[in-house]
Amino acid sequence: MGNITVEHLNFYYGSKQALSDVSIEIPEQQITALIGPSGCGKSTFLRCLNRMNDTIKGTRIEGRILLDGQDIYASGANVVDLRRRVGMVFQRPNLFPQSVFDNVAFGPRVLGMYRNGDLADAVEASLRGADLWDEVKDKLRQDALSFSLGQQQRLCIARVIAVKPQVILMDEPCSALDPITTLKIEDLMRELAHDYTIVIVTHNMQQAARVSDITAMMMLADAPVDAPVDASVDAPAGHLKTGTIIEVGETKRIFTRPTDQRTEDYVTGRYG
Amino acid sequence: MSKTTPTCWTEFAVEALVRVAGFSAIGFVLLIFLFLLREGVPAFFEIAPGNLFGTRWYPTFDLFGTLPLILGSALITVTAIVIALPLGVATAVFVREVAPGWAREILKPMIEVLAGIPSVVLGFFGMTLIAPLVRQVFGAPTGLTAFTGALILAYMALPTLISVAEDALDAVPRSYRDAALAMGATSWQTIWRVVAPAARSGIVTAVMLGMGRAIGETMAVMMVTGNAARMPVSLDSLFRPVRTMTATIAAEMGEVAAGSTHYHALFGIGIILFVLTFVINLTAASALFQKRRRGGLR
Repeated sequence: MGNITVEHLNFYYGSKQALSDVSIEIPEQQITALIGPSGCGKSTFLRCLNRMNDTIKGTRIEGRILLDGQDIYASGANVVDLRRRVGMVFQRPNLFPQSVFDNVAFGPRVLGMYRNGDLADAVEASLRGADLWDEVKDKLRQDALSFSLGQQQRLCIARVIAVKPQVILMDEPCSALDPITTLKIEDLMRELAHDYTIVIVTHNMQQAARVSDITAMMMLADAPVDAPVDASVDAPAGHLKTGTIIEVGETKRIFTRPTDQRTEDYVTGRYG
Repeated sequence: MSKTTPTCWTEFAVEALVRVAGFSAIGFVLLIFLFLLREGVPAFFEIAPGNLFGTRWYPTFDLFGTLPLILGSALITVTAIVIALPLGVATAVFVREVAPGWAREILKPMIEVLAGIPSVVLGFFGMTLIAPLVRQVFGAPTGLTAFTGALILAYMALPTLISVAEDALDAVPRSYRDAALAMGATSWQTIWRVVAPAARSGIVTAVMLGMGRAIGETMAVMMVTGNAARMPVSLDSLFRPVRTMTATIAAEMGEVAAGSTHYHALFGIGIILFVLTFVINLTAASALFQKRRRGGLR
């Protein structure tokens, strides 16, 4: 469970196209890393996978995204249920100004998951899942914002796994953290990959190399000629650089024997 | 040197002017307070404490019990806030979180216009429209009741309450909403469980400012509450006439002999009112301060 197939995805902010013809298979219970230069649409693509872009006015997609064979953008698709199944960890920890317990219990509460008072057990299980239980078990009533950034980010992960998702999206989860804390989160990701499909956006190529099974290289490129281009966009030809995935493969191969010249330039640091 | 002198002089003059203007504002408030003290403090010596905080206000018979007036003000203010709080917060949530852009552009200035309606107009409105309605609906002997006053005051407190509560909602970081939505919370769950609680201290400030506005209001209250200085302690007090501190001062000050005990008693009420308003504003300010310290305004 937690298999994602993206087919010919185009994405628009208003009339501006941000992604064109993105296709990728994201296998279940593996870590897929999205790498690429800033502004190439990695985060935009990630936010398509749980429809968080729906909260931005004027966005639009073409193409299909299948989660276990079900089109998540099909009319009548349940967005609330989708977001429970596809959790998200953001760039900076974004805990609520509430206690540790209330933060982790938030999801189960709003989704009405535990009616029989098993909430405390569920919170404990989630905190154990995020390797945090021993650190916070005596501080469950403490304000979550009083913890260190690294602990806060792991609390965010605990909060996400509390709703028992199938997929966890991570948008540069370590960019606000120091190297030691980053390694901790990476260890945690490896553990989580036994149970969850993980998609991570990262600027840090070592991180992608260390932690992921699959790597997808994204880059701004001229829209392919056969890609359906929005007729309402009257940008001059050649000006239309949009983000797309130029190469996907096993992480080891991407970093050692990339087939695309641009990927090779990027992973060897010759890009730009 | 000769070149720079004129600039220096204008600079100095402007600075001095601004400084005088600034300090004079503080000075005037201080003078008002001193005057209030000078005229009001004798009341606390001339009238026995048992009388001053007694239950009967009949100045003609030297009975200066301020308790019914204090309780009258409290009853009306608290009822007004109980009415205005849910309405105000709901409106703020609607304007900030739900309404589409064009509706917000229309609603915001309209709410601000509400604050500019003179209180005597609202009083008139209350007397001729609300009071008969209250009499009919609640079967009260007269429509001029504490409840009528509370309705009008709630209406007057609303614009302040809405504006401040809306600012508080606006200050809640987008990342909180994202976190809630990304976990499968609906937009209503996000608003009620995350955004509103995060804006709580701002909403408390809004309530306090609304309360400050309500407790000091005179004209509208005087016109619609019936002004009978009775103790509002029975259950039906809300639907009986009541008299507030402000209305007492306004109604009786014109006819009182300067320097008499009655005169000092009215200023004494003024001091009590001043202290109450001061405490309310201080609470509002400390809530605001707490919010800043906790980083709620990020």
